[in-house]
Parts: sequence; C-alpha cells; structure tokens
Amino acid sequence: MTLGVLSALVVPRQNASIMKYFLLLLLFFTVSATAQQPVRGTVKDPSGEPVPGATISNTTTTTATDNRGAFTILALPGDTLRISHTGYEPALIVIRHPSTVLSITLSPTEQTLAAVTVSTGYQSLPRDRATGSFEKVDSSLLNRVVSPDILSRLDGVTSSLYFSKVRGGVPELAIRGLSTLQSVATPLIVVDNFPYEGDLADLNPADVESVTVLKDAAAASIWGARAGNGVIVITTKKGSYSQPSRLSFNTALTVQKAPDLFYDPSFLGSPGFIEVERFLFAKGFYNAQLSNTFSRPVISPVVEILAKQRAGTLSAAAAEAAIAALEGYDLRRDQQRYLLQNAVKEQYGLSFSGGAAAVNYLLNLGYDRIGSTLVGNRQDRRTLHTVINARPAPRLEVSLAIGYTENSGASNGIADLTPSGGKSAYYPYARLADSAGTPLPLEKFYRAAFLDTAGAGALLDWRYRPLDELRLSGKRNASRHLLARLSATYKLSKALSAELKYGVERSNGETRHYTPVESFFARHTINLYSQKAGTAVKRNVPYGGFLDGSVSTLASYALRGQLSYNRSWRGAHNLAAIFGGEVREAVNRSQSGRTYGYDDNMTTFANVDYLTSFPLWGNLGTNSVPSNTAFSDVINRFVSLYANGSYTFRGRYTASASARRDASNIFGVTTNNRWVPLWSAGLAWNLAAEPFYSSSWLPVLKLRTTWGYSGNVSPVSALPTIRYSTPNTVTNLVYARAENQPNPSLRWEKVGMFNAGLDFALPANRLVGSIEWWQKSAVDLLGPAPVDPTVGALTMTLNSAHLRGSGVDVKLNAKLVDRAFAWSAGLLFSRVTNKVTRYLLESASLARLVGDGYFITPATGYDPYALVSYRWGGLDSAGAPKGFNDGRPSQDYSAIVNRSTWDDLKVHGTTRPPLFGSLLNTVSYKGVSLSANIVYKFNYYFRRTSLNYASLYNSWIGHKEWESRWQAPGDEARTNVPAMIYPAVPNRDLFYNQSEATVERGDLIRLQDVNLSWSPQRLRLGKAVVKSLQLFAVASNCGIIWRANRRGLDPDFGTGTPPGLNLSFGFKTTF
Amino acid sequence: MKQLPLCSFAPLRLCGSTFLLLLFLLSSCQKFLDVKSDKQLAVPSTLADAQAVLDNYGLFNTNYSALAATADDDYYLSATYFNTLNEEGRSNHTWGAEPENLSHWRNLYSMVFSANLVLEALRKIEAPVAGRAEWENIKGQALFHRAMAFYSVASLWAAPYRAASPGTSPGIPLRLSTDANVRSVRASLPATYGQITADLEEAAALLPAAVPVLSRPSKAAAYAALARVYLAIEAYPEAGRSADSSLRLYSTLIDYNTLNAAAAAPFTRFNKEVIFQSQYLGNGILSLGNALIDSTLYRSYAANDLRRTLFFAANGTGTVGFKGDYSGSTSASRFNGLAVDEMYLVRAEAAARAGLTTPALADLNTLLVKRWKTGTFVPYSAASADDALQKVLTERRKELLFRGTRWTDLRRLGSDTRFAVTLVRRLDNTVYELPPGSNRYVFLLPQTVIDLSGMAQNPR
Repeated sequence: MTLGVLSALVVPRQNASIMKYFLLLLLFFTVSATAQQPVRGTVKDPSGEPVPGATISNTTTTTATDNRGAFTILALPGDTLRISHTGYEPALIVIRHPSTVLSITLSPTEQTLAAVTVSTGYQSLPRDRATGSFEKVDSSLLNRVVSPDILSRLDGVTSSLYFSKVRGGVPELAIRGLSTLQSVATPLIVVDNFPYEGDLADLNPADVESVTVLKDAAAASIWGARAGNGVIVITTKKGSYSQPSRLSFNTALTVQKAPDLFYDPSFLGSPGFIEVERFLFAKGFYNAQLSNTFSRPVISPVVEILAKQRAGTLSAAAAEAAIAALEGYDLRRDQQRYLLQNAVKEQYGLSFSGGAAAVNYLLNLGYDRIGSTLVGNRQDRRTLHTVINARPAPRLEVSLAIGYTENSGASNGIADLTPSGGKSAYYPYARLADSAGTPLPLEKFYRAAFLDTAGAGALLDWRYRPLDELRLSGKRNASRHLLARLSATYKLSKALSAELKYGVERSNGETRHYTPVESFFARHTINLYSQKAGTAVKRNVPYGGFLDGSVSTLASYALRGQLSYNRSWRGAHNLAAIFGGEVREAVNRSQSGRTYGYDDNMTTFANVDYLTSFPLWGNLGTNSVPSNTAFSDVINRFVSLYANGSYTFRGRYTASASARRDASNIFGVTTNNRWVPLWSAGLAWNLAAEPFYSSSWLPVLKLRTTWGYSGNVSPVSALPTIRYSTPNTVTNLVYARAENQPNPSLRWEKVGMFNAGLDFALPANRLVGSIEWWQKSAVDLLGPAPVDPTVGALTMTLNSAHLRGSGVDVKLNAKLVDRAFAWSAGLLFSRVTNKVTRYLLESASLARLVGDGYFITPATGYDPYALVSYRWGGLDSAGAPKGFNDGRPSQDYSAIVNRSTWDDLKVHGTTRPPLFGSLLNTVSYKGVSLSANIVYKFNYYFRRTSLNYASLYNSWIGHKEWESRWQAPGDEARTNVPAMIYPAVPNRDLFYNQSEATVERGDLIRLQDVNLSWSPQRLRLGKAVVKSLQLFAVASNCGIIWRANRRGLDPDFGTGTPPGLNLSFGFKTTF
Repeated sequence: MKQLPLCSFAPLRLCGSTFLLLLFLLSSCQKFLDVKSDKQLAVPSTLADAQAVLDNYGLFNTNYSALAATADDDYYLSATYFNTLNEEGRSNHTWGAEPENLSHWRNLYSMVFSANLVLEALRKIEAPVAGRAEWENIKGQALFHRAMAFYSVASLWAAPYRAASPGTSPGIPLRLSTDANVRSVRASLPATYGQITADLEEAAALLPAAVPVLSRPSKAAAYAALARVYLAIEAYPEAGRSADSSLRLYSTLIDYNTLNAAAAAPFTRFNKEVIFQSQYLGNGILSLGNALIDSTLYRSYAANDLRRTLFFAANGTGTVGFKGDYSGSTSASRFNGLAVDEMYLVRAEAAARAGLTTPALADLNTLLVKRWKTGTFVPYSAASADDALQKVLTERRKELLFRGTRWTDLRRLGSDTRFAVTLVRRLDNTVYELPPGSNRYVFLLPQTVIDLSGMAQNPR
C-alpha cells in the first residue's frame, strides 16, 4: 500500500483552471468546496479508462465502482478511503472536503503480468489474453541510457533483438534472426499505429512512452506482408484524464570520446611503408608510373625522392636525409589532432501535461545539439510533440497527435582521406599541417610534380590541402518532419465500437553544398576543364564556386477504419475481435543538381555547356561537364483488410486467430499476384486460474502457443523491367537500362513461425519470467542465384531458398533484495540459429562462400552468415602460403581460389552470435540507484583484416602485420604472414586473406552501460514545488570486459573502429 | 465502380466517408493499385521504350571486349609493366591457359539480352501505319546490335570459320529470347555465322539511310558490318559486295592533312569517316604509355605518311604509343566501330582476291592519298593480283590499328602460307609463341559459364 503517490491527493480546490491549448481546445473544470456527507468520485487507470468493480471502503461502509468507474460513499471529513482492485496498487485517500468530486487514478501493480497491456498498432490488448510473443520495453528501461535516437536504446534490453554493427553505418536490426535473404531484412517500424516512413532520427526518444516488439507470427501477422522480419511498435507519450497540470524539464550533457585511430591494424607505419617502397622501386615497379605522361598517376613523396636520386638530380645523402625525415611522421596523429574531436551532445526537454475528466493534453518540446566526433559535423534538432484527447460526447473519444521536428546541421567533416586514382589510402608519412599548424598539401588525383607545373601560371593552384577544405566547405542540411494522427472512436453499443484513424506524415529535406572557388574541388574541376586558347586559357567550367543542392520530400497518408467488439457474458466468456481495412500511400520525391560559377555573396551563377566533350587539361582525357541533375519519384500504395479475434473461457483458455490480406502497387507484378493472404492462430492456457491449481509458491503460470504466417514484400519484378536514366552525355539521348531478367514464376516470400511460451511469477513478483521456444520456416526466399552468364547476367533473383530458424528467448526479472536497500536483476538470454535448408541454385564455384561472412552467402545446410575459409596449411620454407585443392596440399593459388571443393574449405560457424543476451543489475538505496548492463555474445566468429601485398603495392593499403611477415627460413614456425614477393600474386594474397589463419572467435562480454541516478525523496526549491527530481550520470561504450580474441579487436564493429566512451550527465525534474 | 474517388486518392475528402464505404472501396478500386510505383520504371511496351533501351550508349556502344586487341601483335609490353598485371591480364597477354574473362562474356551477352528484349517487345507492339518506318528502324537496330555481339563472341570463343570447309568445331550459344530458362547450347559454326549474317541482312533492309547520331546503326552500318563478317569467314565476294553497298551509301574519307598532329587526340568521336561508333571497354594494357608499338610496324610508315604522326606519340620511354583513336579517346577504351577506311580496304581485298588488280588498287589509292602529305603520295601499282593483295593486306594492318580487326585477320590468314605468322612475346627471359592455326587462337570459355550451362569447353 502506498500513500502519497496518488494524484487524487492534490485535489484542485477553488480555482477554475483554463488551459488554452495548441489548436482549438479550451477546457475548464471547477470544483467548489462546501462540506456535505456523500462523497462522489471516479476511479481510472493511468490511461484514463474507468475501472469498474473497484472496492471503495472506509471504516464503516463498503461500495464498488459502476461500469463508468463512478462511486458514491458516505464519509466525514478526515476519513480515509481505501480503493482497491485486483491488478492495481491499493490507494488511500484522506477526505478533506467531502464535496470535492474525487478523481482517483490507480497504478497497475508493478510487474504483474496481468496488468500489462501490449500494443500491436491495431489494438491494445491485456497481456493475460495474449497468445503471441510480445516484448514491451517501458520508458524506465528506455531512459536508462542517453542517446539522440530511440532504436539504439533497445540494444541490450530486448531479448531476441540483435543489433549488427559490423558493416558500419546504421545498425542492422534482426528480430529472432533472419527471415529473408535479399528483401528488406529490417523489422517494420510502427509509430502510433501506422508504419513510419520518415527518418527515425526525427523521433525524439523523450517523446516515446514505450516500445513493443512483436516477435512471433500471432503478434506480427496483423501487419501482414511487411511483418516477416518482426515489428517494432513505438507508442508516444500522451496525457491522462483527470490529472493535475504538470511541468517537467530534463536535460543531459554527453561527451563522447573521439575514436582511436591507432586501433585499426590495417595501417603500416612509415618505416615499414618506406621499406616496401624502396623494395618496389628497385624492382622497377614505379617506372611506368614515373614515365607516365598521359594519366599522371599519383606518386608518393618517397618514390619521387628515389626517382630524383636515380636521375642524379638529388644526392644520395640528401635523398636519405629527406626520407629519414619522413620516417618520423604518422598520419594518424595528424588526423586525430585536426580531424577528430570529442563530441559534445546537449539535450533539453520541456513537458506540460494535464487532464480534466473529458480532455487531456500533453506538450513536449525538445532541443538537441548533437555534436560529432568529426570536426566540421554537427546536427541541431528541435522537436515538438503534442497530443490532445477529448471525450466531447459520452460515447465518443477523439484524439489528435502532432509531432513536428526541425533538423539543421553541417557535414563538412573529413572521415576518409583518399588520394583517388586507384589509391585507397595515403602513405603513412603524409602530413596535414606543418609544425606551425599551416595546412600542407597532399597528393590528390594526379602526380604533384605535374600539378605544380601543369598550368605554367595560367591555372588556379591545383593542390589539395585537407585542412583548408575543412574550413572552406559549406555543406549544410535542413529538414522538417511532421507526423499527425487523428482518431475518433465511437461506442456503438456496450460491446461494439467503431474507430476511424487518419495518419499523415510529411517531410522535406534539403542539402546545400557550397564549394567556394577557393576549395580544392572547385579549383580542380575548373583547371581540368581549362583549354589553351593561344596564349590565353579558356575555361569550360567558369571561374566560381559550385552549388550542389538536393531536395527530397515525403508525403504519406493512411486511413483506417476498424470495428472492435469486446464482450464478456455470464462471467465465463469473453470475446474480443477487431475487423478493419486500411489504405496507405507514401510518395517519395527528390531532385538534385549543380550550379556552376556560383557566387554566394551575389547569388550569381554561370551557364555551362553540358554537351560538348572537352579535352581535359594536360591531355588527361576528354569529358563533358557533369550536370549532376537527377530526379526520382516513387509512390507506394497499400490496401489491406484484416481481422483479429480472441475468445477466452473462464479466464483460463484463450484461442486467438488473425487473418490479413495485403495488396500493393509493387511494380512488375500481375494483378492476381498483388494480393497475399496471411493468417495466424494461437492458444493460451492460464494454468494458475484452474480450480485444481493451488500452488502458492508459483501464483502465476501460463502456457501459450501460436502458429502463423507473415510475409516480406518482394523487391523484384516478375516482368522484364527497364529503368529510365539521365540523358547520356555522349549522345544526349534519353535511354533506359534493362533492370532485371523476366521471371514469371516469382512468388511472395512467406515466413511461418511456431512459438510456445511459458510465463510464470513467484509470490510478490520476487521472480517474474518467461521462456519461449520458437521455430521459423521461411520459404520461397528470394536470393541472388548465380545463373549461366550467357543469359546476360551473372545472377538472377529467384525464389531460390528455404530457411529454417529456431531459438529460445528467456527473460527473468528477480528482486534479490527488496528492502530499503534493493537489488534487482534482469537476465535476457536468446539463442538464435538459422540454417539454409534448401538452396536451389548451388553454384559449382564454392569460392563465393568464402569471405568475411558479413554478407549473406546461402549454402544448403549452413547459416546464411556462415564464415567459410580456405583451409590453411601454414607457410612453406620460402614463406609462401600452403593451401589445399581437391583435398590435397596445393600451392596453385589460382586453382585454390577458383576451384575449391568442400575438402579444401573450412566452415567455422556464423558471424552473427547464436547465443546472446544481457544481465542488468540494479541496486538502490534511499533514492540512489546504480545499474549496470552487461551484454554477452557467444559462439561466433569473425575475420580480421590481414596483409594483402597487391593492395599494399597498388592501393597503399598497409597492415601492421607486415612487420611480423615471413623474412627468413624458420620464420614459418612463428608467423602466418606470407613473405613479401614481387610481382604480387593477387590469388596468393586472396587465399591468405580468406584462409583459416585470419579467423578469430568473436565471443565477448561487454559492459554496455552504467547508470547512476539520485532521486531525493523531498525537495523544496524556494517556493516552487518540485514533485520529483532525478540526477543521473550514464556511461556507455564502456568497453569489453572479456573477449576471446587475443588481438584486442572488437568484433562487433567489423573492420571499423569502435566508437569512444560516452559520458552523460543530466537531470529530470517535475513541478 | 472503377471511377470512384479513391482512384485519385484524396484522403482528406475520405475522412468523412463511412466505414462501410471504405471497406467497399478497398475491394473495388483496382486503379488505386495500378499506379506505377517508380516513375523511372517501365515494362517496355511502346516504340519509345524500345528505342530508349537501344539508346543505352554505355551498353551497346562501349561494352565490347578488348580481348581481340590485347591478343594481337601490333604492340608489346615492357616486362616491368607486365609484372604489374593481374593473373588474368598476364595470361591473356601470353595466350595462356586459364583466363576467366567472365565480364567480357557477360557484357556481350547483356547486349544480346537487351536486343532480345526489344525484339520481344516489338512483337507485342502493333506497328501503326504512320509509325511503320520507326518500328522497322527499331527492329533493324536490335538485329544489328545482336549480330555485332554474336560476331564478337564468335571471333573470340569459336574457331575460325571458312564457309568452304566448315569443319565440326562448335560455334557459340545463339540466345534468341530473354527467357532465362532456355538452356544455352553451342550452335554449329555455320549456324552461328548464318544467324549473324541473316540478322545483318535483315537489318540492312530495315535500317534507314540517315541516323541522328552515329551511335545508332544506319543502313550503311549494316552493310559495313556484313562486309566485316563475310571477310572474317572468307566469303570474299559477299564481303566485297557488302562493302560496295556501304560505300555507295557513304564514302567520305578524312583528308589527314586537315588534322592537327600535335593534339593528344587528333581524331574526334563521330568524325566524318565513322559509319557506326563503338568502342571496347578500357583495358589499361592498351593505353598510350603501356602498349608499345612494334618498332618494325612503326618504321613501315613512310616519312610523308601522315599516320606516322597522327597515330603515334612518344610515350616517354623512348618508344611510341598509339593515339590515333577514331572515337577521340585518349584512354584505353578504343574505337572498334565501323568506318569508311575499312570499307575501302575490304572492297580492295575482295577485288584483289577475285583477280581484279585495277579496282583493288584504285580503292587502295583512293584511301592512301588522303593519308599522305598532299602531293607526296605516289599511287601504288601492282605486278599481279597477288601483289595487289599483299599490298592491300599490308595497308590494312597499318590503317586499322587497335580496332580488334588484326586478331580476326590473324585467325583467317593463319591458314594461308603466304600470310601466316607466328606471334612472339618476349618478357624477361621467357618467350611465348602463338603459331598459326593454334588452338589458342580460340579463347577458353569462362569456367563459370561451363559450370552453369554444361556447354563444351574449347580444346587446348
């Protein structure tokens, strides 16, 4: 029993409060205070729904609430009322002014399974009637960490949801493993009842109330053809009825450490790199490049020095001195110093909410300044989220929710430095600035010696200085996003209600990239398109800056009509069903283009001849001036019909079923194939409600099982399709390209899933848990199947594969100590296995299976993310790697790479951990709470980067392990790194790179985050009443506690560099 | 029912509509779903679509294989540069055992696919009376492109073919539809060339005399292609007749005296000698600095022969490289299209082989007078038709450098003792030889193709 948390205690006494609000709503409620004997009131749950049948008692009498949650009881001032109902925490109310109409909100009992409602985006259903697999993440879990986006907050707190970051960029999400091979593999994201079409970065996590993950077919099938990968339903915050006005403010400051460039082993330090260059120079490797007078390839400074020495224009001593000076430099130091920084992120949020009996409102304002670890990048975000719910008539409830986001930012940072022209990285002794900090030029596109003299004074400076670019580049972006949901629910009868929902999403974004004439790219392009005209220079790209711009818009509309039926009768039967239909349209348009000769001060520009193919300066070729104009216009339309129902008998047995048909305007599909029907069915048995069940130590016990289908929208066309393209610059003719081979037998992908679950709880919820076992069978999966290239393509997308998955999700929450000092622990454990059970078009070449396992390579009997290697036989006495061909030792690298048999390969396992989960421990004492989330991943593998001589020679991609390469006979005992040879044999390098020797176990235990917070019990700041205050500090990206590999690598980030430590401080307060 | 307002989708208006109406609309309004999802997509169904597919310059005009040009003897590589090549490049250059060359095969057959796509679309497009000429033009273009792709495949992966003695070696897979379920089988050599010449003959009948851009084939281009193909299969009278048909339609030659020898690219793309513009895909081997011109060949150009300075430039290594590309390219992507100079040479060769010395020499001299410094050219004379043929073939090699024609010439002339040569490459201390008539004049099919189609590999 708790006293003091109840909002009803703060009874509005004498005032009429008027809340003027966003669009139209104006509301008041008045309560007068004169003493009388009967006390009236209503009892509601936090969502404002009336609670019928609640018991109201004082010392003398007892009564119960009616269907509308209302009650009347006789009482005297000073009496204490007790309000109770199963599933809710009992409440105590002290009567001060008996005339006051009480409005009592009961809080659901914490962690009681029965109290939780889960949202599917079509309906909210109580968990005890659910047969499917839902996982709800509430706001307290979501707010444990500080991040500008919502999805990353699910990482480590949701079972079966895996975040793969190995490919860099936005993490790829997978719910219960893989359900498709080639179609969109990410779960469907639903925000406030409709699929979200925009950019999730526009959604402020402060506006999110809860997230529900729909994991099995029964839960997700209501989303039909897009639910094959599971569904993530995001519900935003809204106000509550009969709740006093509340103002809260929160802020957080985050500092993220810059990534450590010295982490990446694929970098060869200056002394080693120079030794390689000397070795190649002596072999004559650079001769053709040095004498090249037509494409002028980039030449490194050391090779230039060696060439001058050989030509006799530089003495040996001077050359050695110059090279020795270069040996001391390390580009990573300069990058770390000039291009990277610690990122500072600020978040501010203000929230107003309140509600009367018939209306409630919420207004959230947010402001985020999101700094970047890249110098020159930042984002600002302003968000508004507002919801009004009203009951203008007893049977009608209307709701309007509006979310508006404005983003603006700059992205001028330099993440990758590349010389281009076949070189993928700079030589390690490159320098960004001299000791005085003056920007230094780096080789770019063409040989420096050529660029310095090419113009003979007639051209603009042609050198590239990255630090100047950082200062000059003006790349900005801005976007606006509007999300509006309007809904009306009308109760036709006690059991039947009709609902109309309308959703709008609009966004537009633009990027504006101003390249002033001083910047390298403008100077380079102007120079390249300059022509000698007698003694003068004719510029085919006019002198001036470039303005690149792009605009994209999204407009999405959705309309849904739904009938809901919910009736209980004779105390034994309950039938709940929905039936509805939906139309949706999403239009994405974009256009982009470039203006030449642009002057940002005057907004003047110049016209350009895009058609003529001009000779480029210095005989570097011919080309027409690129126009960069592009348009796109995509319309997606969906029509769906759905029904979903469940019947419960005596609260013990529940049967559920759902069915759905979807149609869309996907291209290249004949009409008959547009509609795909999907269904699911489920059963639940609430054992604990059986009369024979009398276990007092396990008061909650429920079994449930489901089976059903969901689908994936096919991305490919069954008909031969062509795609129109921008006019060809040579012919100036509009043309179209064949997009795909026709395939009349193409079918929709279908995912069938079986789920069985057991929910249980110990008394007082000391331990609450659920265990689920699932099995998934995805059939007719589309896959890139290798085909006879004679048909005109190397691969074709065919319904080529079947995939089977199975797994276990375990979720346990325990209150280990539950006193003034409290300790609770939450354990998540997921086992996910995936296997390709049929792959129709096995290629004769097994080499395609060999790789880093980050991309899907189907092979019957193996995980789609299987990591496959060439078998490794060590190095021979000359430092050459040994492999296997046809099961026998071989050093015919071409044969090994091109004609492997299964005997020559080793399948390690998968790159996606089949076992993963987390352990969240929270200890609290007197308002101080400390929690730490530990994430574990087991039983997986990854391929580390390794040395490739061909890449080192040709593209300047080095690797630290060059230093431990084979150098003398006997070294083969201590190293696997092959000897340096010239010419490089690419297949020898490839064999080594993709062999067993470069595979590591991925298993790790990571400290995901630590949260320390303090909520003082009572606080008074001057006259302001502070209802609650919470101060917090959060650390994330804390690092790895234990890892299986001994090289200090973080397998979760693939070949990339893990992000630096994140530290946040902030507070939340409510008035 | 199909005209209901939902078709234009005005959701705001729909807000007021009742629930039942909505459900009714859902199931009835097909038009709502008939809207194209991506405006850039189409299933080719109009003449404009078909023409757009054929105007894919990147596919039909720059996608040919450089293999023929890299295998011939007009150039050599330095051993240092050769060592920087990958294994496929090294193997190709030395007529080696196992080059995969998959992309070359695929590129040519993706031309075949797109041509078939157009031909299939045309079957469904009722040619309007007024648009008959356009329909025929498009069909002619598709047949032309398919034949050119087949011819390229045949001259790389099928044995040389002489109509007089066909032999039994297999030809190439003749894919005539877009259906990927049709298994690829190698047709016989006569069927292969029968298809190519029949397609080109039909194209010649369908194509218009004038085209807006030389990337589109014209009637003259179809005859020129026939001339090239008939010559390759030693059907000399037909070759001569086709060249003649082409020349009757278009016979302009550039006077090389009007060109600037100092320019990096003395010739421009779409120059007035070009009948049909196409290039093979760039291969670094053939760039100005890497492909070193055979010194004997270079010395065979007389001082007053303008080709000596227009075709060649010093490349900084004491040798010369080639810059006389007819598509104006300074890169390694080089012209392999059809031009008037080749037609004069084909007609001259056909005449010489028919014993008609005078017309043979007349054609040769008409060409060469435009190649020499004004007033310096002394017209060729010949003692016999055989002598004339010798002279025509010598000039043929000197005129058509880097166009890939040398490879087919070596293949067909290998059986003629008068002209057969053994090709030799010397790299470091290794000598690679390709004797006339060798199996290695026929490239191996990519292993992937063999694996996936089950077709027979070429002998080694």
